[in-house]
Amino acid sequence: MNAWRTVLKLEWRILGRDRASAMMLVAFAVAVVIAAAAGGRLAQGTRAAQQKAVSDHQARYEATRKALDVAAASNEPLAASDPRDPLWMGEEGAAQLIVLPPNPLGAIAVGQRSLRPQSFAVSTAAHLVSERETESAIVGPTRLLSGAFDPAFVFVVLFPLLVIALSYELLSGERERGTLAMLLSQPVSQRDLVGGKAAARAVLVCVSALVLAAIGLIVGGADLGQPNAWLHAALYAAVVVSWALVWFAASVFVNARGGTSERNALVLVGGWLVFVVVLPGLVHAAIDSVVPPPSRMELVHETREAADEMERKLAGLRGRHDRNTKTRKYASELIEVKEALAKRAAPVVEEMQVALDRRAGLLDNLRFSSPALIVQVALEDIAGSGSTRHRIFEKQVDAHHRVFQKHFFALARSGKRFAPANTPSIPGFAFEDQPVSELVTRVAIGVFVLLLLAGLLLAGAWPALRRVGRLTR
Amino acid sequence: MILEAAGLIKHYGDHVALRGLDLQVDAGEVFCLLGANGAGKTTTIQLFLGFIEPTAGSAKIKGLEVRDHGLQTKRALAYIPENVMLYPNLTGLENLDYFTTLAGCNDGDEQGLRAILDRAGLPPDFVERPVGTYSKGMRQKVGIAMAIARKAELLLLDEPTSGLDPKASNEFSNLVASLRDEGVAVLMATHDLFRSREVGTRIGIMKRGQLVDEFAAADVSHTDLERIYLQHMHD
Amino acid sequence: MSRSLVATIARKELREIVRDGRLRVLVVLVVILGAAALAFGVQQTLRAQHAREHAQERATDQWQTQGDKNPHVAAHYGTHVFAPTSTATAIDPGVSAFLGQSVKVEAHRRNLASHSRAQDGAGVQGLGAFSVASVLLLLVPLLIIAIGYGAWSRERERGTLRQLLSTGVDRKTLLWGKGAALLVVLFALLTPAAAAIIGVLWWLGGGDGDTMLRLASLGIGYGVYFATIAGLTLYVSAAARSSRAALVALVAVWGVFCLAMPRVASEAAAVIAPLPSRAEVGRAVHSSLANGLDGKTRREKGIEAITVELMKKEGLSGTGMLVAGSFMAGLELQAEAQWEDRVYDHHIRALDAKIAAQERAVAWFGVLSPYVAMRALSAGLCGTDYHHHSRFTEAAEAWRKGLVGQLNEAFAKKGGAKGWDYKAGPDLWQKVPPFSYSAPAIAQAAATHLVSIVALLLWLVVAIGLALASARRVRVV
Repeated sequence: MNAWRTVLKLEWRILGRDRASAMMLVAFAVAVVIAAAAGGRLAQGTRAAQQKAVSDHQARYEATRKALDVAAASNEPLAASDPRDPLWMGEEGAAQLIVLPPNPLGAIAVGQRSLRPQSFAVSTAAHLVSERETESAIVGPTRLLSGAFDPAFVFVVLFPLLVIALSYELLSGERERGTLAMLLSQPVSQRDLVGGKAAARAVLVCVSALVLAAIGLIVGGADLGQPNAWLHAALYAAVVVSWALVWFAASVFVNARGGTSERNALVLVGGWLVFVVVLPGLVHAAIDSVVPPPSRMELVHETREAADEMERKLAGLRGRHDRNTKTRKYASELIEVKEALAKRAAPVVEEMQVALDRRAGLLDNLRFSSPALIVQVALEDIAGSGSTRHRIFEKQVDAHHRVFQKHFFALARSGKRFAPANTPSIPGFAFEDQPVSELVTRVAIGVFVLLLLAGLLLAGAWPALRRVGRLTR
Repeated sequence: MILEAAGLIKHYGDHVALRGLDLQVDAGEVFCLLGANGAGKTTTIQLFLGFIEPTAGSAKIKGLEVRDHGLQTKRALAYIPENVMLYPNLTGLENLDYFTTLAGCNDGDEQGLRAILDRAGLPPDFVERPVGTYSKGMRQKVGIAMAIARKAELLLLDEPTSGLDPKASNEFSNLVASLRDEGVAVLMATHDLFRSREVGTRIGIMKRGQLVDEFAAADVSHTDLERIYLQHMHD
Repeated sequence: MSRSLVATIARKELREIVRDGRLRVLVVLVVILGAAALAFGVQQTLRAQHAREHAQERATDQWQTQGDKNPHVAAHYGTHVFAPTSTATAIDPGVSAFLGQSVKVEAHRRNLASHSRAQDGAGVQGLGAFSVASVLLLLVPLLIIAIGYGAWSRERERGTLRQLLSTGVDRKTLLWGKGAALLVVLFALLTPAAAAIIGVLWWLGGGDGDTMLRLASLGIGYGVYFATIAGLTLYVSAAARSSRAALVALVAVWGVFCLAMPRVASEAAAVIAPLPSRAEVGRAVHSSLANGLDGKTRREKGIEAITVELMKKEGLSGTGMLVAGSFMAGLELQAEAQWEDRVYDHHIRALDAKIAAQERAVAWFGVLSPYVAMRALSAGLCGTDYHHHSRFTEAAEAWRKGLVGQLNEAFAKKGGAKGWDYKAGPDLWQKVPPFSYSAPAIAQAAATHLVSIVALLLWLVVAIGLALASARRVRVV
């Protein structure tokens, strides 16, 4: 035991004098800072835009309510944008803006936030497949293609290179320097020597991982006041450290083979290339190839065909500019058409949802094909920008949309004017976020697989490490 | 008897590196192992270090079989390879401190370590400089300092004087002689006929994995030694 | 510098490269990946093309079988037009997966393109698309690095460099020899690949002159890109302290150029040339529609003014004249359309310009990374960049104006006394000319990416310069 600690302490001293390692760590910290700043800016921007949009929306709604109070007293006929017109209220006046609240650690991974809408405008409009308005800045196509420079990218793609650089010549370096023979001629068991050296580097790697993760959090801006924020931070730390351990174990495994430092570097970087750079793209290509995504374009046409009669009626209602849109007859005709549209389109939309869900499930399972995907998905889940959370949100909004529509259609059909007394009964939306236990389970499974992988690599290295001859030649 | 080899045989696949080596070195003796490249000198030393295992025969240090008592036998010996490699970013003192701590014989006495480095002949102004700035001879002196600090009873030397200038070579000889006089057993594999005669107690000539001749150093002159050696190499 | 000497050196280098078992494995891997990427690209392109054809057929069918109705009602019913998929998408899908493929064409609105393929996909795409272009842009440079990182350093470590230079051979000659060997390996690898690609694209139906010209330019572009990487590899090999250091440095450089820089460029571009949100644009349009582009003209007043102008053009003036109901209605519709078109054109063209500006800002980072430059150029030459997309949306809008105008005109001219009760039938629907769009010629595509072209050429010059300078000063021991 004593020898272990001696080796460890002195290994630290040697590492401390190694300028190349120090420079690499600093370069990395800089990259993390930049990435966190970028990720944080995006998260902040989204949050600010959402807050502004929500408060603007609130203000408009308040103005509408005031107008309603004023207009409710009078008995004049309905005007163009009249709060007493339940149809108008449903379409514009009482329309709601629903936003997906960001997670406390939202800055660490941009995830699907650029591709899926973060807010929805809910009204009686038959929004089946049209573009939904969003309050955050449009993301340019090249930016969508490249992906974000966020901490998740730095940790998933670049961090393994740091770990490799710090540990690829664990044993081969000593051998090439000639000190390995000196070490092994001392009355220290090989286990203590290798163990102590490996432990020192493992500690360095893990501590670096934690420090870099912390830098990412601090610079990116984490909302640590939110409930569960510290739990999220702990999960984040666990993911990063176990990822670091996987690559460290890989370095030990490769070192045990007894090759030169150059060969070790080549093999490890090759492994990184395959598992981090190439495999994820291949997995997606394979899925796209075998289980192609359902086409929204097709959906548009199918729903059109399914509800063609209704579409024509709707066009007829809207297209004839000579009609008075304020009569009850118009209102009821419009509602009838819209309801029928929704009903006819429902099975087609349902089918598409099922296909999308199936595909998402497949992709979710396939993340175990590459440890890089496990880490990416885990970080996105923690940041609340993964596809799981977006799907949950979209489903809840859809359900709410239908409830909202039903409510206002019923009101309009009743023929009565919208009154201040009706405002409290407008259906409200409360987002039921992904339960914490579910998040923890998902991330824990990922961490477990990573640690298992690291363990397997270390176990595979063990037999080779026990033979001195290989190490000294 | 500090070091003993009995019928030591080592095969590397088809190649026979040692075919039955018998060797004994007592305390206070310097045994010089002469021979061409590939005669088996380094293999012998590696066997005693426990870096490789013999195919047959026994290698004992202080009566303990090396293959069965690795740690204990290492405790009794110190190894100085042809090129003493140390950690270039640490100073000579720090390197000595590290290796002696590993060996478990460091009691934290820095002055004592400095004294040992001094005895080994390391120039005082180099003690605090990183080893990367040392010459080969200076590194070797640190190696010897390690042996002294560990109070090793057996010294294994592999080509110690190759690449040293005459002065360094002489200093080295004197150091080995003084250690010999203190009772340390020394096994030295070397090409250096002159030094063997200077510092050796007994000399052995190895050829193709066996000892083909063995005699006391005092029994031959320098010219005799060369003649005998060349004769054996010709056979 | 003797050419035969260069050839001798190159031959020996080639022999070494070919005999290296590790490199053989790498080459085979790259070839397999490239072939898989091509197969995948072809499959996706074929699917996209079929989907488009199918969708267009359906849309046309729906349009033509919509029965009898008032022409303006038909304009509300509307139809869809679809973006074409160039055959070169099989090589480089560029940003096309992130751009909408269809535009809903209807009266009173200019819609943005919707339904991008990326939206349909359900997963983690940030880690990279898999295509022939990505293999060429990302992996082939690594192959070059793997082959060439030891070009100078290993010679030095083995001691053979000392011996070579002592025979009196010139360093520049050595450099050209080594460089030539690298490029010959690449050429040997890529020529059959290029032949396969051309063959496949021909079969896919892209055998026309413009596509072939684009492919040829693409080949030249990639050639320049690879030569740049080769030059940089030789430079680092000569300048580094050891083979190990050279490898580490080159992988680091590759990581910076190909992994970090593209993302940094995008983030920076988002700050330099920010884009508004969709809601912002929507609100701006809404407000301009209500109060005019200057913010001071009420909609009714503005449309009235336009109506008066239109009447003047038709030779009518004043309100005293008796005009058929539908003629007046048609005129008003036209005025409304003009009012709306002005607003939409203004705002949407502004948005388009902003997006193009952001793309250009990214392209400027090509000066810091040849990967960024080549990626932009590659997408441009394959017709899968933003520029091609915005040409499509402009064409769609022009067609929409034509369609709505035609329908309104039919209403105005044929409606007569029936007014809004007038119904037209399939003969009018079928009279509408089909939407046809042809992609811009290569010259335009190249002009859009001038920055990338210049950046690439600059990099080539820098790489060769560095390689030469380092060869002159390479340490021998």
